[in-house]
Amino acid sequence: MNSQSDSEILKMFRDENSRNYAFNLLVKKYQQQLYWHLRRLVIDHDDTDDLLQNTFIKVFENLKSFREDSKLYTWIYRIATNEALAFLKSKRNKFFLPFVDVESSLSNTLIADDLFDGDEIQLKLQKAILTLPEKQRLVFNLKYYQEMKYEDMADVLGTSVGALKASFHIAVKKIEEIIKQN
Amino acid sequence: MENPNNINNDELKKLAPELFKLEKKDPFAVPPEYFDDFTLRLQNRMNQKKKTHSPWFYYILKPKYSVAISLCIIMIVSGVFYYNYTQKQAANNNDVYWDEVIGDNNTINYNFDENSLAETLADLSPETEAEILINSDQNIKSISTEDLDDYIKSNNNDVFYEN
Repeated sequence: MNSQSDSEILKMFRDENSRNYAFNLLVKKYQQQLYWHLRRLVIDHDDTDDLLQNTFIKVFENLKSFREDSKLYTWIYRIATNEALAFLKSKRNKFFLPFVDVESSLSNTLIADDLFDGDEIQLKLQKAILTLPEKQRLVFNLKYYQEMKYEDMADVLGTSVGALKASFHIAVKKIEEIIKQN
Repeated sequence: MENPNNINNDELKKLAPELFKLEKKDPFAVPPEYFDDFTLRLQNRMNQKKKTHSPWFYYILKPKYSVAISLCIIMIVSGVFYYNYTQKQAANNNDVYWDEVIGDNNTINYNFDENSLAETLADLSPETEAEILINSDQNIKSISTEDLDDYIKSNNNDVFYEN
């Protein structure tokens, strides 16, 4: 079912008769990787579920006008990432907290999360990732876990490949330091 | 997933040996059958969204638009009031000038300001002007010949009046 290429799905989506079928294929194809991408950013499952649904609703609403200037998958990732960043921003504004406090509140969510099934060292790693600035955290997650190409990442985040490589390098060094301290 | 652009293992081993030793896995879990049900739940949410589509005024009542909308409303209301006020003023001015010409008991008041009358008549629309002339005709008929003679003599004007 997931063997359809993005361009085939897009072609089907543009035909009104096969639109819903194409959208279902798209959801099936990307739901898991987008879920993990969002979950690593917002930690809580319910928030992730909400953001994932919002992402697909936006994809559905805007896919007709997608101009194929970029790859479909980087476009979908960009929507998901923007949703997550907007969510974190609203959370920050809601509690009038500086950035670091939102991250520490996410860290607390991580500890209390029933759906966290990692061991102690995994918990330490996740906490270390949460100490990173937002941009570095994004880059680290996309590279380390998703193994996304820098070129695609540049498309998703609207940054140069050089800047992304530098961000990843710094993030890895910081995490290594934290792991060593523990 | 092999990726030529990915940071290779040797590089990661050199850069972060402790991180390299860790097993790369997602420590998060999802509720049972979460991904199996996701499409259905998404479909339900989209259907619900269609049903509860917000009316147009919902968008203009959003806080981010409130200041702009309030300013627009204030400007429109002020504009309407200002327009009404200036119209009323103009109407009052016309009445005053005409009252100067036609005095009490429908007689012509000779001491009116001719310049003001000229300005007023110049500003009047052709319809209003015609209406005033029709009404004034009745007033003028009540003026005696002696009155007119006196007026012409006193103002020394070349006035032609046909009855």
